[in-house]
Amino acid sequence: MDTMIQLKNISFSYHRQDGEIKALSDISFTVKKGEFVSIVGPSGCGKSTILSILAGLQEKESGDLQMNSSVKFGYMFQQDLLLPYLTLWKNVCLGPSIHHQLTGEVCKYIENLLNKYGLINFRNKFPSQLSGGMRQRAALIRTLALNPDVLLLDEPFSALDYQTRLLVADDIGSIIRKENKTAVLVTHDLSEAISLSDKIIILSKRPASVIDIVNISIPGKENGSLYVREQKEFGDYFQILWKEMNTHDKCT
Amino acid sequence: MTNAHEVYLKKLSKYRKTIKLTRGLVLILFLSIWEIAARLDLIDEFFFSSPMGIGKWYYKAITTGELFTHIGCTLFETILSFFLVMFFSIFIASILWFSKPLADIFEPSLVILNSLPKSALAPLIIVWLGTGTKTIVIAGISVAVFGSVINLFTQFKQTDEEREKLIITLGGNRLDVYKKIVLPYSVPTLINLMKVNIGLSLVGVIIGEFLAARKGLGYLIIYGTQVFKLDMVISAIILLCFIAYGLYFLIQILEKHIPFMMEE
Repeated sequence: MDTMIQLKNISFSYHRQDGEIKALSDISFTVKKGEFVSIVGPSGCGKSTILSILAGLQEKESGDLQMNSSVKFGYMFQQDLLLPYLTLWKNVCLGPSIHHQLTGEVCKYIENLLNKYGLINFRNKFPSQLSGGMRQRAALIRTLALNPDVLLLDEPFSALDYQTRLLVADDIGSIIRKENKTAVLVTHDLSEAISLSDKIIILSKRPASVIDIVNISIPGKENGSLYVREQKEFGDYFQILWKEMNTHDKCT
Repeated sequence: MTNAHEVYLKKLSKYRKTIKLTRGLVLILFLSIWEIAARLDLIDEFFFSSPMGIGKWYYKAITTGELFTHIGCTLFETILSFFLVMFFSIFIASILWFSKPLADIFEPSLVILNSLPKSALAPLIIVWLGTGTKTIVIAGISVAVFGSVINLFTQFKQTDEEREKLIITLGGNRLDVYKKIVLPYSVPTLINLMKVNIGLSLVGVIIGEFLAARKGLGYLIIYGTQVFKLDMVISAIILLCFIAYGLYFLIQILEKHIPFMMEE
């Protein structure tokens, strides 16, 4: 697989009047094409900052970020952030309409996505008329509408209740695999990361540094995250990662 | 429909009818007492006027057509000030939202101008612009515009940061954030400002007419007081009540036609 993004010794600090907060220190990892990479670590450790830097929302302070300049990013947030005054259709078309690219071809592509993922009959509904899972799916289609190469997922399931969360994670995970997208997921939920990813990057407390990078190989991954959760290896990986996170925290 | 529900609805409609009827009776009673008291010289009609006197004044003003000139004048000036206030509010608040340095520079001035009693400005405006419609409209604007800008700008600033980020990650710029997020989210605030501003514009126009007019309801009030034609003064005040209510009512109708509600 080709390397898509390579981070080398990336560091970053937030500056405020009352001082400087170091968020990232010497972060290095690679993301290959078609890979599903998860970044786990304690809350507030700076995980989301990595996504912001990748998406170009924030400028890295030092280090090297290598990727093809033509790589397009799609960003998915914790909340679905659907606009309450637009219909589902207008919401998912937001990206192309900002770029003035809402051509017949693009419309067809989006219609096709809505159709495939069971939202086509709701196209004229407003977000308040949809369930939480449907809203999160709509948010993903809004992101896919611009046909990004890499999806950046910033804890996209954490606003949902537990049961919905498992189902939506499974749902979104399989959509991403079906559409052959590269994805970087930020989460503090270890089991979510194991059930979805090919590779997990474990970060320490702030300032975040990489503790370890673990490749996850569980057979039958293509059957979805719910299937993965039932496998024996799932539990093994959980033990390994859990120990690793905790021993490190005790050392520091 | 169940029987009990029918009984409930009947009771409700009867209650509403009673309220309406009582309102009418209170008005008639009030006018009667006023008229009788004036006739029996319990109050001095010269100072307090009387319903009949007011009626006569209206009759005369309608037949000469004078009434419509004054109403038209005040209405025109108020509505013009109102539209200008709304225009300047949106325009200035938008500029301040787009430029943080400008906002930081001018915010204290706006706050000071807003706390100033605006009627204090009216004499100055007359000196600068003379008497006439222009002065009165500017007086109307000056009462409402500063508070309106501050309120709208505060609303603009409260735009959800996450939604702003969403537009940026979808490849939009600040103008897209303004069009897709900031403006739509400000619709409820805009409606509220319209309700407040239509009233304030009327206040400003009346102040202006007190000082610098030859027609309009404010002129009738000040002129009527000076020559002790209290029929004229009270008639004008009653008209003002109706105009204020009518204008507010128009905006309420507009509000009902706003196609979406802001709920989350």
